[in-house]
Amino acid sequence: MTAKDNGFILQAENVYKTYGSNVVLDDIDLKLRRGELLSVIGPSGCGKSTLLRLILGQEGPTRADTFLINDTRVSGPDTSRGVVYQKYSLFPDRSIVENVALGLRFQLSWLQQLYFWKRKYKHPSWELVEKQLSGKLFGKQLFDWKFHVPSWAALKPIKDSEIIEQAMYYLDRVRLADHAHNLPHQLSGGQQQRVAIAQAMIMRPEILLMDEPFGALDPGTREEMQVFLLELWEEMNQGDDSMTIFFVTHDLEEAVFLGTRLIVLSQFYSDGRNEEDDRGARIVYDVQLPHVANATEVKTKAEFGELIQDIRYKGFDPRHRQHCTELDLSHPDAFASFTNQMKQHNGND
Amino acid sequence: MDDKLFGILPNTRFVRVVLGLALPLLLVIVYLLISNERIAENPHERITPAVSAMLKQIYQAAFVENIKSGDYILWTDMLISLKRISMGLGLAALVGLLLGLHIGMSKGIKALLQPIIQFLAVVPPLAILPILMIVVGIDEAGKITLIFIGCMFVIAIDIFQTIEKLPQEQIVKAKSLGASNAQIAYLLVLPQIIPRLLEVVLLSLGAAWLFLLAAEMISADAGFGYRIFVAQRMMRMSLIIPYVLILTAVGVLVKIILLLLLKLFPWYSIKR
Repeated sequence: MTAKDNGFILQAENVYKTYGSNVVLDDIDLKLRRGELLSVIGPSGCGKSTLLRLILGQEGPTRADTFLINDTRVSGPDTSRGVVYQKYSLFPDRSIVENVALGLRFQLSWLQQLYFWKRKYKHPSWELVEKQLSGKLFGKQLFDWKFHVPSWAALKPIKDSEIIEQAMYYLDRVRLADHAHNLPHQLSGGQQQRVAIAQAMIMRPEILLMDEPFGALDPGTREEMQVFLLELWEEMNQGDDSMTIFFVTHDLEEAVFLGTRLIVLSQFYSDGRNEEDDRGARIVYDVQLPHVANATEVKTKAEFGELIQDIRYKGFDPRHRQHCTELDLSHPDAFASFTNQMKQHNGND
Repeated sequence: MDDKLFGILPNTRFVRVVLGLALPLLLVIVYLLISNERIAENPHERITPAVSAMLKQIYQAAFVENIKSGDYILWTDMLISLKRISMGLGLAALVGLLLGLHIGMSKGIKALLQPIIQFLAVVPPLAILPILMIVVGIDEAGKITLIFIGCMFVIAIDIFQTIEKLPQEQIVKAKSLGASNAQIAYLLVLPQIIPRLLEVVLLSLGAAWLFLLAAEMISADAGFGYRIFVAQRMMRMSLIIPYVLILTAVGVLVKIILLLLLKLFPWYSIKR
């Protein structure tokens, strides 16, 4: 499941989301490959967070032809998708290490272990394993049975010490092992977000959804966190594992710095309808970003200056609307499907 | 504005304490003056007893066996009143917490129970005291039930409103970490609302004392309310005033204990 098969982890075709008569997302077409760091930007209120919520399963799309995570239909939030929010990241009544260990603790019940098939560190299966049951009384061997059971029946509940060990390991990777027993309110904003990332990652989700996670931090901390996230993502992408990140932000420079692929959601485009009509956002820009192998080599702004200008013009400027059939969808995985009505041009573009 | 009180006094702790004691001291002095005058006119005066008379009454209540009941009435009253209010309020807190928690976590339970709880919360508990006396009886059960009914609905409503104010992000995050609904309710939400439960019990203390005293005045044979009521029929202000003061002191003590308990949750006060 975690093998790097370069398959698509997310497939969305013709996804619509409306709240009452207000169309927020209009014809979203997105195919996301494993191992990508996708930056999602757009003007405020355009529905980036809505799209994140749809993928997370917090809400359902109003209409969708295809909406699959890992080839299964998206339903409620579960461990295949982790999330890091901008605020309310941690549970305030628990210590840091307890917060990180939370996901593992939820698996503690033996009954749950039977039914949680997708857990990463123990895969229940029907393979037979040998079990031994022996009894001794006063030194004399009473019985010694060997028999075979399917491996899901041979599961032992995970020990609490193992859980804490794993939690400390992830805390170590986010470099906060010293603060293990502090409470969240004793940590700074940047530290809290790092713990939130560790908390999400300990469950090794297929895709990590991040909703403007660094938005509430000061600029210096924000840059540190961006570098930190890149390093973490590269680490998780080694070998057989892959970690896909869906990173929503309103900061254009941040999006360009972090991502391997960039999409812009915007309601400033034209299609068969009148210009005055309200539109939901669609993907108006989908481009591959060159990925620097060593994250600490900072991508200078000069390299991407032109790209940023282009995106600002095409995605953020309400006066400039491209027709939806002429959008810059240059990423190899980008695609778009149109109805005949959309393909019409009216006099406005 | 400069940091001076009334423009001239320095804002130090000493000055603030002196100022704080000034008015109570004034009240005591005024009382002494009035009472002295009235007693000088009429030694059998009943309304403003002398301090010595009050002290004598309290001494008797605390350390002299009562002729009729054979016990030290002050301690009996204190213990029995405290027992009633702690049982009534404690039960109200427990049941209110459970009700509020489940209403807050399950939309089905909320649809079922919220309307009736909102309605019952508005019924004035003192008005149903006679009903309780008939149905449940006139001894301990009746009084505890009154306190329970009076406080439980408010606590339940407050708790489930607190739960609704919890950020939705936490619930979604918990689900993404693999938590079931039961785990979210009992392992994540419940610990976060315990300090709020303490707060709302603190706020309900006033009402709880009210229900207790009302029930004790109507039918009891021991307790603060009973004793005050009996003393009132005998016009014995020299017992009533000290009793009220002691009653207030006990109330303040309970409040302080609860506030200290609240300090066990350092994350709670910071969050707000």
